[in-house]
Amino acid sequence: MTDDATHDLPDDVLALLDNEVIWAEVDADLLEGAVASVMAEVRAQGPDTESVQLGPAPVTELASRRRIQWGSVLLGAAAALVLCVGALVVFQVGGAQTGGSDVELALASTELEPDATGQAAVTSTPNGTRILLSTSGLPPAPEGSYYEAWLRTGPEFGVSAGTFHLRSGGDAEIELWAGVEIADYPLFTITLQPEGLATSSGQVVLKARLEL
Amino acid sequence: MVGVATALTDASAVLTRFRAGDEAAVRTIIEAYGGAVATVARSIVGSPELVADVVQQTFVKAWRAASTLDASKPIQPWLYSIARRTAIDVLRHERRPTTGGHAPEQDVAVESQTFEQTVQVFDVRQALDALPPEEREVMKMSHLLGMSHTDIANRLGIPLGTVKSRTGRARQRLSVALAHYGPTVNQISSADV
Repeated sequence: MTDDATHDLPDDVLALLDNEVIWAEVDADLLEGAVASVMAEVRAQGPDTESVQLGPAPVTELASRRRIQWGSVLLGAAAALVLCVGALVVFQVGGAQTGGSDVELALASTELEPDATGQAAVTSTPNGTRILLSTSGLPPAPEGSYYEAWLRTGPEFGVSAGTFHLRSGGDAEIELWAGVEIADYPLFTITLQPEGLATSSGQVVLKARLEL
Repeated sequence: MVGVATALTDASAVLTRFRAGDEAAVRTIIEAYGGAVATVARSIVGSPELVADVVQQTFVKAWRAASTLDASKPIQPWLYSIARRTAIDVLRHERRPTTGGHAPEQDVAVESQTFEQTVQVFDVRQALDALPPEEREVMKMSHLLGMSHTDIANRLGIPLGTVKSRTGRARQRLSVALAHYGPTVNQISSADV
């Protein structure tokens, strides 16, 4: 920056403005390629996603799906993906055989935190289930409380996947691990927990569910 | 310029058509957010070839995911989360050594920007893409090329005052769009414009 008084913008924003990455032009072919890729996917799955039946047992097929290469057509109607309570499952067929995301979940908010949104990339590994959780609009847990992630068979039983509090403020990405397979625990929830409570408080702030 | 943020006057309707696979809506979403997604990808993977791969994968995943997204909520958090994870996965896969034979492939650690940095990169690029072209141009010449207002005026063949007013308006728009990154945002004075 030369002769501007740029005190009206934060220093970290100003630093980004001086970074050539932030200004890089986007090639028209790149965006056209993205449009073409999405439309190829639309044609492969059908234009109306809500009417597509995409697989009754998606999670149990994780291992075989990891072997599918990018660009392969999804099996589509053969495998029904039933979405409940605003949850979504997406298979990342292009993921690496190790370290790639197997399942993308869109987490639905609840009346406790209606402005919160969340996404989770769930990876089945030889050592357990890795969950990379991204949240937006979820406030820091008040002092004396924290958030806890759960993989559940249903309302009656669940396994903790870790705790966090978000007190750094803002959106966050958190790595969680669980020693169970999501195929056996298809309900994923985030609860607000008071310190000292060993079981779920039932105060669900985000949730996603797989119908098997 | 390609990738200038399209004004989504009815984002909910566009998202509804996007998830139904309407090509015009798909194009609208990609034109509106492609620049920011590409910038996130570039900030993580660097290579243009990998950037293209990340952008394509991101929007394909976003379309697959869109069927149950709440159309009343912004799509940006969904996009930058997918873009970030996809870029890290692509970079990790790219850097993973191939051992050949029967030895298992080794996963590698990928040092990357923080999630907060990803969000900021996305937001700043979105804000720049939303600027009118003439304001974006003077900001780019000033910040990226380090040119003085006088040099910009000479280069563009416009009065010095016009350069200052465009710069002032651009800074004001950015301040509003990015207000959540600063505890206080000072409004530019009339003397600046």
